[in-house]
Amino acid sequence: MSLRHRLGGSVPVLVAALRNVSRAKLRSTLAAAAILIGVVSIAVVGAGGEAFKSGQLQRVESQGATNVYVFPGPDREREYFTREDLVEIQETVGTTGVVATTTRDGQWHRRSDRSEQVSLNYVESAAALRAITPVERGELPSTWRRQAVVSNRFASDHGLAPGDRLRISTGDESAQTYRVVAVLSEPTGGVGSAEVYLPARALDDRQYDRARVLTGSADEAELTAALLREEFNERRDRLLVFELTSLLRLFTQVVNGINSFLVGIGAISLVVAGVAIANTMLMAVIRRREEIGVLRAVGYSRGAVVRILLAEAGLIGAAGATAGVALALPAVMVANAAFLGDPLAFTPGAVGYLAAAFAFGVGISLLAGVYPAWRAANERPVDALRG
Amino acid sequence: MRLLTRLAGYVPTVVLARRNVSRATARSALAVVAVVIGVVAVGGVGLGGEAFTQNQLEAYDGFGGVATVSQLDYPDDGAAEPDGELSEQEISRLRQTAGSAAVIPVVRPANDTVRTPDGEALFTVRVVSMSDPSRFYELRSGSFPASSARAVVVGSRVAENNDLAVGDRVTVSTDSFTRSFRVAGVLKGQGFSDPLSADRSVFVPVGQFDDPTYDEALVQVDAQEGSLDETVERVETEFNSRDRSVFVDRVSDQRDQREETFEQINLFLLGLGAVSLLVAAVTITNTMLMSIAEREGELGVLRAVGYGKWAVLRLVVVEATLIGVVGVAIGVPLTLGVGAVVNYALLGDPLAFTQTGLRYVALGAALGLGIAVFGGVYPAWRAATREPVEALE
Amino acid sequence: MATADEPEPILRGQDVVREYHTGGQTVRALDGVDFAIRPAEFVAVVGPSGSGKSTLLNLLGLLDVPTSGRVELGGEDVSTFDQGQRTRTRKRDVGFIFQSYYLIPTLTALENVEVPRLLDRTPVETRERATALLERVGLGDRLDHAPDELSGGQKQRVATARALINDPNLLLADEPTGNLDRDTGDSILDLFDDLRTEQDVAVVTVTHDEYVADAADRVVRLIDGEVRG
Repeated sequence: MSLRHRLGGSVPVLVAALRNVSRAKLRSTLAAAAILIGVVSIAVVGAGGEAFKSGQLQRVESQGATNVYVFPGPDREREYFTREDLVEIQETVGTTGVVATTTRDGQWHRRSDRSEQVSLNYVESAAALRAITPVERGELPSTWRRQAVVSNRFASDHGLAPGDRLRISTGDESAQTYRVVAVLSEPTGGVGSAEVYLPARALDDRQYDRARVLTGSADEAELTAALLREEFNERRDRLLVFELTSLLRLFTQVVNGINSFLVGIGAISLVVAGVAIANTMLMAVIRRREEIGVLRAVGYSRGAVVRILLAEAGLIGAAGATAGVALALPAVMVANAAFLGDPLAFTPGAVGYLAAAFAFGVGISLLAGVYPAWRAANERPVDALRG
Repeated sequence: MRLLTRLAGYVPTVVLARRNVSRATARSALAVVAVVIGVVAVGGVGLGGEAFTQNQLEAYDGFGGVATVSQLDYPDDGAAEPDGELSEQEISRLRQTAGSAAVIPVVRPANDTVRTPDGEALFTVRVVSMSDPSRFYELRSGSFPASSARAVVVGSRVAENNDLAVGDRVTVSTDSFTRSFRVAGVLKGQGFSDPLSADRSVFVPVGQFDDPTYDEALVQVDAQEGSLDETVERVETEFNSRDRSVFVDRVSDQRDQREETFEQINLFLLGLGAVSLLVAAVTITNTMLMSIAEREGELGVLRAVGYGKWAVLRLVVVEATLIGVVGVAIGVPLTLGVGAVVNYALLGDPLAFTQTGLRYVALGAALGLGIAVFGGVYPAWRAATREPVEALE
Repeated sequence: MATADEPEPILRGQDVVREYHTGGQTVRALDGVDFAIRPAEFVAVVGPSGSGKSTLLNLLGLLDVPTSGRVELGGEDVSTFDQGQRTRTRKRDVGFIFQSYYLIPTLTALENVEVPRLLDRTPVETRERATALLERVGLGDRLDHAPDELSGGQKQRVATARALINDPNLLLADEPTGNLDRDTGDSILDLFDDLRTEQDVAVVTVTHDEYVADAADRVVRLIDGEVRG
């Protein structure tokens, strides 16, 4: 006995179903095509939406979702942090880094007769700056005194490069000259970003108006924020603590809602496809009435007949769903490339949608096969064979 | 012979087709169901989207004859952005220019934070201040406070999401003050299209600001006293003749843009719904293929007794069309029912169908019929080109 | 061959060959057959299975065209007709009675008879004629019965009435008595005789039944695609 024969013998229902399905090729193909269309629409919409969501989340995270932003609270006497305050915060959050910064508006004296406003961010050390934003060009100094680091947008807007000089003044002070040593690579727009970054020692008072706690993930940021609130704001609001996680959650919720709605509309087509399968199977059992009667007469149980017919419906569904997922994959890869920059960056959510589309396609087919199978199995063999 | 029968004699193809369709009841019924679902999907999405659009656009109802005026800012060489502040002088210039039209300056303080009594900061809530918000908004509960009162009116979402009601207190901080306010009123829901995003705002009386800076100004023209277009024209001449210094935007234009956006979203959803009609077409093709396979001999006889190819083709196409007609006849009332429910939920009136909405229903019906005919063509062609000699074997 | 006193044949075939290609082989179903059918003539085609009887009937009924040879209808070579012309000619001149009747199950007896003229949009005339024909074949009381409510002989008579609705010159009958008892068969043969005498309709029948062959004016024996005897 050939291997194929022996293998087939172990799944007789499947073999019988396969033979029957391929008997009415056109009909089965059309029913599978209906499933295919439904599966493609669900998979593409669902997985594409997931890619969109992940892309957006990555963008938000890169703009500081892993950070917790801490500001002096309304119940503090002083509206700024001193070094002692920062030590206290550092002790509360433990090992994670704390970067204190001060933002100011400054004047950039481009020429003796012309100046314009720039946003300044004073950072404790080069290491601290490196911790909050990566560098595109140039080197950060080890001892940071009279050097400036600029954002890449500021650099490109004004044609600045490492080596250029900036004359900057704040308030009533006289202008100081800084040498541009590095350009940051992050696009500006994230929380706490500025155009020009200067060393904190350039501040005469060493007062910080905000601190940033750096954590490893959005979840950790949320925990850290809770910890800080608990420690500092028990009775009075000594700190204002912000983290983007709650916003992220809101965004995720909204996108998930929209995505499920779209997938729901796409799923209508799968319901119609189920109707097509029911039709095909109904036709098949009517055509094979006598044949099924013979099976019953030679000792097949009703359960066996139902199983064979359900296996047929399932096979059609599986064929359509497999082809559908195969067709959807390139479309999802295009979405991955567009939103995540990598065609193969399938998110767990996207894989979930692909799997759900497949399962839904097969499930609907099985469901659609139930009535025809039940009808065929419940006919008395005598009646089936007589007419 | 009865009149009906005589009439039927003039549409013999339809009579034959009807008999054939009703022969395989289950099969035809399932194909009809497929069409019905497709028609309802397209029509329902269209009607629902339309009701949603109307619901959202209701927010603009109070803003008839209104334009917004904002200062144009020229950030270093870049293109002008509607950003920056209007000074007191500019506001009074605007008042003079606008003549009889009302000019309502709007304050959006910087560094605004609203906190609930528990101290929770509401990130998404904005602080707005303008004289007489009752000009544009209605209250769900409470009343509008006097301009000197230590009381605020909150938007519907602010109230719902944070369990705020009239009498509760909120703390509002801006760069000029941090004060506790009593909630005097809650606005009716406006939807997210509202020009001032009132749902997510807290309205602070203007009297709270000693030295307000105006973010923008609303110009409202009473339709009986003047025209908005003329007023906008005068403002443009006054402020933008030499340099463009302000940005004037009619709220009706904003509304139109919104509407267009909604229409596009709706079209996308319709496209998605139409996929189900495509599947229905496949179902009809399948049904008709089964039907002609079953009736091969009969169709052969028709060809033998002198029916041309076209006659057979027509017969099968008409059968498919009949399935479509029945599907549409069931689907359209069903769609209207769904639409009525959505209308009631979103607009409060089950019969608030718009022309655009009904056009979507018509589109669903036309597509339903179209795909039925389309789905019948291939099986019909197959039946018609079958050689009668072979069919009769 | 035609002599002076015989009427012109309505259908004439000369050296008619019909070949089929199946599975790489060529099967010659008719191998140079000559025939002529004259008005009011009753011709029986007999022969064993596979002798080409059905092929001949299809050619006579313009359902098929010969591979070579000539088939003339009223002096015109039918093999040059396109499909539309053949369809129109078939409708005008030929009536078919199929062995398994092929009545349409969704239509009543009366409607089945009307089928060939349904598309003519002359419902009143068609109905009158169909009713008359059914009365003529003795089914005046079965007009509104569905085919599955009729006996074999009744179905045969509905099929005959349907074949006559277009007033054909030639009636082709495949085993007209094959499924019928002798009495019913007799009544069908009587009907054929009436048609021939009253309306000059020529009847060609393919049959295994010697009884039918005996009733015919002329018997054509087909063996292996050739006329014998």
